[in-house]
Amino acid sequence: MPIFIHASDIHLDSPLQGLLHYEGAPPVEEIRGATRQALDNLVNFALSEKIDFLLIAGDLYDGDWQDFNTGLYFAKQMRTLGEAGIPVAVVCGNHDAANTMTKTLIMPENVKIFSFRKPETWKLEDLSVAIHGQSYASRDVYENIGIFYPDPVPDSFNIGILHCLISGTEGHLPYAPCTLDELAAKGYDYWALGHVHKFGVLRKQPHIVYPGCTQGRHIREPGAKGCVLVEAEKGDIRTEFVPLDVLRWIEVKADISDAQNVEQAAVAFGERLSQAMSDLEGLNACVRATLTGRCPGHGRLSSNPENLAANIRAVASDVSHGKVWIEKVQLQTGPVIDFDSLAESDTPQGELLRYLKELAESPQVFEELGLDMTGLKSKLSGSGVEIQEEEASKILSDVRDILLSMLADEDNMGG
Amino acid sequence: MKINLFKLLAYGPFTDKILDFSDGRFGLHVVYGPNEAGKSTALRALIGLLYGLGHRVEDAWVHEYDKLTVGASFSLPDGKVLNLTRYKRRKNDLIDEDTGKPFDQARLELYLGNMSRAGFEHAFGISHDSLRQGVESVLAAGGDLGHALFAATSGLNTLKQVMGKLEAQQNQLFTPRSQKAAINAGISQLNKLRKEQRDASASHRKWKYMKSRLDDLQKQEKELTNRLNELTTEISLFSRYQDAIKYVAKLDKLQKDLEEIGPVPILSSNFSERRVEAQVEIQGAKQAERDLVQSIAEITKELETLTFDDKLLDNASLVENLAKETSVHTKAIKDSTALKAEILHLHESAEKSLRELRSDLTIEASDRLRLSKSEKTRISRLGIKRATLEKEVAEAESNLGNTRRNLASAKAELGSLGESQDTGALEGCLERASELGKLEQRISEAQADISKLTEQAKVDIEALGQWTGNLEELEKLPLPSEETMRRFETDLTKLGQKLFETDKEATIYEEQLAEKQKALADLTRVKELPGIDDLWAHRSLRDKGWLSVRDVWLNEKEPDPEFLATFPDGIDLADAYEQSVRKADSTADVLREDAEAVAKAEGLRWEIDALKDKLGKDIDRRRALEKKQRTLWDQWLKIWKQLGVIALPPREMASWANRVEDLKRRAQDIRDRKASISSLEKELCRLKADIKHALIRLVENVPENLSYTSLLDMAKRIVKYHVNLRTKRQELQNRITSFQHDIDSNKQRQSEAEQAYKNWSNVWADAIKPLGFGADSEPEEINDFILVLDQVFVALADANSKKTRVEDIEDDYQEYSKRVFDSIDKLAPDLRGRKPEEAAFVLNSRLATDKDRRKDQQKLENEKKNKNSQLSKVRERLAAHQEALRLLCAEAKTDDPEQLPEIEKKAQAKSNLINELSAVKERLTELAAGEALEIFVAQIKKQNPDELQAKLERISAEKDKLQNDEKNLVRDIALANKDLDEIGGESKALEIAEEAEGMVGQIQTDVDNYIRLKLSHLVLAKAIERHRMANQSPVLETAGKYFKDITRGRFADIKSDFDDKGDPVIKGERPDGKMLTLAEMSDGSRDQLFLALRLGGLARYVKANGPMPFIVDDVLVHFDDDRSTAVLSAFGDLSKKTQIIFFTHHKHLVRLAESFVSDEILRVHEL
Repeated sequence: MPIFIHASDIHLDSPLQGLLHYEGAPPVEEIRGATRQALDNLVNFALSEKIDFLLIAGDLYDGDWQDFNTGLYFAKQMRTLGEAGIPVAVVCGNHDAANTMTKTLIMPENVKIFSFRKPETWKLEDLSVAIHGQSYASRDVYENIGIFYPDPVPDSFNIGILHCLISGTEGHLPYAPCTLDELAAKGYDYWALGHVHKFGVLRKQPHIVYPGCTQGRHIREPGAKGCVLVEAEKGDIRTEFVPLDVLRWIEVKADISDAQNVEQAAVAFGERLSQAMSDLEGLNACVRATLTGRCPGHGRLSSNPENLAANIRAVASDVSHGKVWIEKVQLQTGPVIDFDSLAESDTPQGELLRYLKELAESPQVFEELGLDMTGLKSKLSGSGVEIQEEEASKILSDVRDILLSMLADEDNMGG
Repeated sequence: MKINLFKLLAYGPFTDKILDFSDGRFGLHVVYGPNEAGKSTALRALIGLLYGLGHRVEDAWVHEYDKLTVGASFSLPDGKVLNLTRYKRRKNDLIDEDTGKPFDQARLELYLGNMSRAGFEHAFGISHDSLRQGVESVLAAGGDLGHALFAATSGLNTLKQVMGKLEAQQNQLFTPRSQKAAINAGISQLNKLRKEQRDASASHRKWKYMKSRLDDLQKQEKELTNRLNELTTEISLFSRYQDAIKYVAKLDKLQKDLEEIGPVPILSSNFSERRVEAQVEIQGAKQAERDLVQSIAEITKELETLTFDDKLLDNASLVENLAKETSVHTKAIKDSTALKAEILHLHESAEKSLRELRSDLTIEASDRLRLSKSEKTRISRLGIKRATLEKEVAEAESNLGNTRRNLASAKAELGSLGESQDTGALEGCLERASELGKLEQRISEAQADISKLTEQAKVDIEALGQWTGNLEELEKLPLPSEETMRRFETDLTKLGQKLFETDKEATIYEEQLAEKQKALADLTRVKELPGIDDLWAHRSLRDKGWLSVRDVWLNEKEPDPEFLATFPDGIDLADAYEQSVRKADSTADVLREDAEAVAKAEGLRWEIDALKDKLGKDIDRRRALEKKQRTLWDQWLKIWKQLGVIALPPREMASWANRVEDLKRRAQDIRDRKASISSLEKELCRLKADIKHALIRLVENVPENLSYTSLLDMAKRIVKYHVNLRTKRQELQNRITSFQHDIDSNKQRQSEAEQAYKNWSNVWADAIKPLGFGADSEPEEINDFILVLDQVFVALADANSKKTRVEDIEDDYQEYSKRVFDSIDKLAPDLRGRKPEEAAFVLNSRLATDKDRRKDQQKLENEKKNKNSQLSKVRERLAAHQEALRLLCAEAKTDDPEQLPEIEKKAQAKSNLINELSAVKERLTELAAGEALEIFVAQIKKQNPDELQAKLERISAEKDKLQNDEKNLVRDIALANKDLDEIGGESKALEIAEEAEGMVGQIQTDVDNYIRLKLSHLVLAKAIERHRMANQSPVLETAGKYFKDITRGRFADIKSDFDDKGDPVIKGERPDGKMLTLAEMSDGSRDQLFLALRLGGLARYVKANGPMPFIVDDVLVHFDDDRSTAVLSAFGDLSKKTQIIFFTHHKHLVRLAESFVSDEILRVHEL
């Protein structure tokens, strides 16, 4: 009975997001081409395990990625597998369909790219395995293509390979939507799915599995990423998640209550980071530093985010011995000052707070304030940077911290 | 709030310095301290008192840092007095002097208008510096009205700087047209990266183009290779033609030569050799034939001369044997003589040895003493065994002796050791002691803990207040339940709330009443306004008067005294009636004429009555509530009084009760601890007694009064001693038992050894008996005897064998002589009479001669036979060669062998020509490369050699060029291949894209910051504007009055106006109505304007929130006396509403104040 690997969402050469190089950050060389390194790991693992075949359930590369190097590199790696006699079954996902590279690229003979016109069956006769699949014809496939897959081949191990979203899964575009029951009703032995970037065995009778992406590329893809090794033995299917990633994305939350200033906040974060480092198995990591708790230094921290970020980065570099990037410092601290009672006082500060409170309740706070972002918007257009207007209440609380701390600081300095 | 007393208990240079601000209602308190007297220190102490002493050490130069103390007594808005002391410590640094307990800072801040330290300093403190800053800020803001108001009322003097900073930070991040601003720079960097990324991306079109280019090149290469192959073929062809031309010429010549030679027999290749060989052989054979015939004749002649004796030769072996034996027999006879002498000597030596062993022993008798080999071995073994047995016996005896001595010594040692005693009881005690640990230490530590706890509890009871007594009494104190306390608290609070509400309501009614009364008074001030009731009253009086007039006039009655009584005395009825008519008429007129005013006054009166009614009800309600409150409070006090506790309000009592509960728990803890100590002490006593008891049983002298520890040590020593003793005794007993056992086994071994020796003696006697020895003979003696006897037997055996040999020699010689004589008789009778040896020798000589002759004859015969055979072979060979020569002649087609050499020569020449021709044809065939030779030769003959050369040169040149082209093409293909291979290598675009993504993150952060900064700016500006809208009129109104006062009328008012842009700005108004902007004013006027605004703001605050002390720090330094006086007057005015504490170190300001501020208000204090 076959041993195979199920991978998907390789997104080869998709750039890591938010990795700004700064003093004390790990050398960029170490994670350069992380998605490629993950693919190399996949190929090496396949060779070392001497698997019977490899399944890739879509999204080989990003839809808008123009560098043909990427496709050729993928083909080269597939050729390596071909030389070791390992067949590869690929369905194109939404990203692949969107990419012009897909049609130009010539794949080696061991790679089967499933047709985008209709579902087909690829039989590996010597293994008694039948693989059913269909590629995306275009990026926006919103119809359920899974239900049109062929009936299972008798006396064979039947695998469905499909790039789709199981209905009810959140945070992903609903491509080729279908339900677990619909897939189960097909009577296949194994459904190799792609599209969702998080590993999950959705059902065991039959096996319906998302292997997740092979390498996380931003903070919304946290934790270990890799492929699934599947061993089928006399009707018994065993799956094992195998990490392939070379860089891990994690969020480290540190409670910095009691921190009086930036330095103390950084130290408290450093302790938490140090604990979190033990889960990383020596990999490099991209860390989102989230600071929480009510602390006396809240005003200082929020009014000078650059200084805070610099301190957090320095501590991270120290603690991790240069293995960690700080992707972003997210401040979720609160003040120790009782703003409610200050807001009640008959002082301009009190009035300022009352005004901010009124503003926070207003649905069109920015219009009310006459905030004109036209210049900035036109500058930013097409750059991928957004003006996040939806978080008005958070912005207003930051404004409150900035103003109160600046008024206090400025006055202390002057008087 | 008001500060009554400010106590500099231990701060800076001050010790127990008390400033009494209690006199009067609020008052202007000028605190004077000359330079260095600590004015600033006192000011810091005051703020420190309110908000904590902070971490400054500059004020700790007389008193130690941790001893700094300031205090104050405050009058609170509710009329209560709060006495607080602030200490320099980390926790509980604020103490309520009345309760002695920590006072919550938040509660204090509640009285301070919920303001932080900075807020308070901004709002209720003013110094010359802050004044200047405020002015600068407003000036910088272009005299913006909102700014000025916000700054003046909050004391946030640096608004403009903050606004400026916000703006600067924003601009650092983004301005639409900047290159340097972070976001702008980031975006251009990002665009640059994105472009680089596009450039670095290898497009699939590019790849396709490169692939097709490679395919083209490869196609070109293929065509080139084909053409080159064609050229190579042509070159090869023409080269062959060129080569072939000379061979074709040679071919023609050879064919011609062959024709010229004509017909010649073709001879085989080795014909000449064969012919010469045949002729030589014939000649040799003929010579050999002649030689052989002659040799055979000579041999035949020699054979005829040879003769010999056949009989002798037939007995050759007999004769030869006899001759050979001659020497043997001669030597044997000589040997037998020597042997006889040796035999004699052996016999003599044996006899001698025997006699030495035993004198009577002869050779004949000795044979009886011969022993077999096994007998000899047995005797030898027995001899050896005796030594072993003797050694065993001796060893057994020695071991036995040693063991007996050891036994005796062990027994002696055991006897010398004392008896051990049972220490079980003592060990039991020690075990208990170890389980209990260090008892004395535990007890003393526990006692120390208890006394510490007790002491603490005592202190805490004292600190508790409201009650006196000790801990035991406290424990029994039956506190009211929490529910009770909560109920009282709720009820009292509710009552208080109701009272407050009633008061508030009453105040509102009072204000309304006063207002209405005033309105009524105003209405009625000019003209009395009668009501309808007045009209009715006046009319009824008039009617009454009329009735009296009628009665007097018609009924002659007396005027109505009642009616008259309402008029001045002495008036007559007519006048009175007239007056009453006038009054009624005028009332009616007024009512008609001023109907509106009357109605209003009437309404007011009605409202006044209604309000009075309400007020009355409020007072009733208030009384009822107060009564209820008193009752409740009395009940509360009573509950506590029963317990001997002076009750505080319920909430405080709840906290008090909690502390009492805590103390009760601690009392319980102390009791538990005491109980555990006492049980430990009892255990200690018991243990001590037990140990002592056990010791006395073991030791005679146990000293009295030994401590527990010493007793334990002694017990341990004793136990150890007895344990050791027991061990030692046990060891000795074991050894004795073992020695006794050894003695038994040694005895056994000894008797066994002796028995073995005895057995041996018997066997020994049996063994040596045949030799004639007794049982006591020594083994060595027997061994020697046997050895000598063996030597004798050997010598005798030797003599016997020698004798036998002599006899044999003699027999042999007899037999030999007979055989010799028999032979002589038969073969040579002439030798009879000679000695056998001699005869045998002669006979043998004769045989040797005859043998030689017969050998010669046989040799010659063989030779003759041989030669005959050779002769016939020579004759056969001759015939064969003659036949061969005949055949050669036949081949050469001649009968005469002499002609053969000439024929051979011709044949050779023809053969050479044929060979050459064949070689030429072979070469040509090669050059024809598969083409038929005739056709090829024909083609060659058609070629012009000169043309051929030119053609070849042309083609070669073309080939060279194409080869060069091919080289270039191969290089181009390699490059194209490399280019194509490079795609698919590392992605430079990825690297750039990652950098760009990092950039996006950075810009995103900058944008987020920018938005916050921009919003902060907008919010602050709007807040200022709102503040202006809300506070403009009340603050400006009051501030305008102060400004007028402070400037001594040089300015009439502060006004809001609009600047060129239409933004509201603040301006000063001259008495003539001229408006001056802030920029147009002098520095002094600006300061005054800002101060006026601050005072206006303060007045507004006090009006809205109640009084709050205003702390002024030498704000008048740069004011001239005139203006200072004005400001002091203004302070005096404000101090009617709230307390002002004015710190100064200028004496003349004190004097100015004393001159121009009313004594009722002004209080001067010195530091």
